[in-house]
Amino acid sequence: MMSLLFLIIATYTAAVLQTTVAPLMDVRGATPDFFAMVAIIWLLIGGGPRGFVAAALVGLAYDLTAAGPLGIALGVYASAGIVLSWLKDRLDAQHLAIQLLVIAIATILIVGSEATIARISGQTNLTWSTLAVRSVIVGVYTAGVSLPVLMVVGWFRDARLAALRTN
Amino acid sequence: MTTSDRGDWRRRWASRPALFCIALSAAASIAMLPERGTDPARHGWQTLLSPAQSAMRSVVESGQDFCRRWRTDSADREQLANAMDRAERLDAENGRLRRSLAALELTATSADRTIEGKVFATPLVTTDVVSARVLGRTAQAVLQGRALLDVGSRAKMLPGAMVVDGENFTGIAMIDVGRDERLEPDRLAIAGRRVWGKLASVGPLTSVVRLTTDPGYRDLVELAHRDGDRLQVSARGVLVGNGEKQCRIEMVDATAAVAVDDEVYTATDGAAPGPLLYGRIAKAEHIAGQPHWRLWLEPALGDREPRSVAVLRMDVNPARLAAVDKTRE
Repeated sequence: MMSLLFLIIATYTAAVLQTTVAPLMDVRGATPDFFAMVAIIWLLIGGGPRGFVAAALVGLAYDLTAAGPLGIALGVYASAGIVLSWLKDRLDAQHLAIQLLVIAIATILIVGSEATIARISGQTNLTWSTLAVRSVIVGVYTAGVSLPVLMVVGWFRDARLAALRTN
Repeated sequence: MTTSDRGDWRRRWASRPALFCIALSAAASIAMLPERGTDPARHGWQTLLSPAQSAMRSVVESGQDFCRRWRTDSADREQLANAMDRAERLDAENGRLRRSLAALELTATSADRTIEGKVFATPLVTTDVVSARVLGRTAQAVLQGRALLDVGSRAKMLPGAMVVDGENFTGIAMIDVGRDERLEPDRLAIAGRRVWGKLASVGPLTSVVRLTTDPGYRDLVELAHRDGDRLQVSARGVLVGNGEKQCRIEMVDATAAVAVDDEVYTATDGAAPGPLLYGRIAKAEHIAGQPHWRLWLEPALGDREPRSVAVLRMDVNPARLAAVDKTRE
């Protein structure tokens, strides 16, 4: 219950940051994707086997915040979530470098998928190469922005583990 | 349905593939909804976000404002530092210029003592200047009335009164200092380092000045060619006044490089403080076979009569005399 509340606060914060702070962090038309960051970190750190459902809800929040049609991000985030849940069981997701790599690749895939759907449905007329480059920049940028969050989360997790060992 | 069947049903629906299918189906269903159907949800979400967005925007604006102010402050600080640096450099430059000026002044004062790198003793003949007013006709008439100035005769005049030539009395150049200021004939009368004339005769309180253009005026001069800031002496000659507006310069060797507009100065004679300007060459003629140039000089002061002049007064240096006396003792 507590973790669900935390997810709601994190998603709300991501929505606020995406609409206010992200436009100021523009690099060649790309901004960090705070929704993707929240969904992926949730899946890596706390999401259980059904964590992709939470990721899908984050995707829904993205749909509600963005101007495009509803449902697309929901589906994309759910798909990314189930892949990440499967990967998480096979990777050492506690390592910071791996976490960063996963965030970058997953964000590239999420943004790339959204861009592909938008391009196919005629919502954008940007070239495929532009969309690809932008997806990569967003992925790397989001991974960079995630670094301090991952570090803070890691400190909390270590402190909690230390407390558990002491007890 | 048994309890065991109910548990199987829950597990089946709560399994990952089933949940994933539900999520995809929900996504597809929502995507197919008309815009009117999704607008309330979107609007509700935006309303929920709105307060936090406003707060965040004000935080961002404050941050931007702070950054802007900080940047402006840094720019001001940089400008101040630059200005202080410049002021420091200017102070240093001023100090350097002051030192150069002091050195130049020292050089100037010792110029008479140093010629071509040789150090000479304190000059034997020293020069100082006496300022004098040029007396106009009214002033001269007053002096004449007081029998201090006699024109054309020595009858009824006071002892030591000055006698001037009656025929040339009008337009005579006279100054209000004489023997009372230890002046002597032939001393130069100058106005701003330009020669006006020489003292022709010195009375007890007044002196008559022979202008450079007056008949009988003669002086040794040097001709110099100006090359930028430098003056190059090209020849020597004798300046002769003949009563005309332009003086003649004689005895300038025909082989000397002379040109119109060359400047003419008093010749250096070891007593004057430095060259004084007579004027410029107005006309230069060279006749084949003649050993000298025919030159005409336009006086630097022209026809103008200065209101005051300075007369160079020369004397034997008392310091040198005192040194001689000391040696004798």
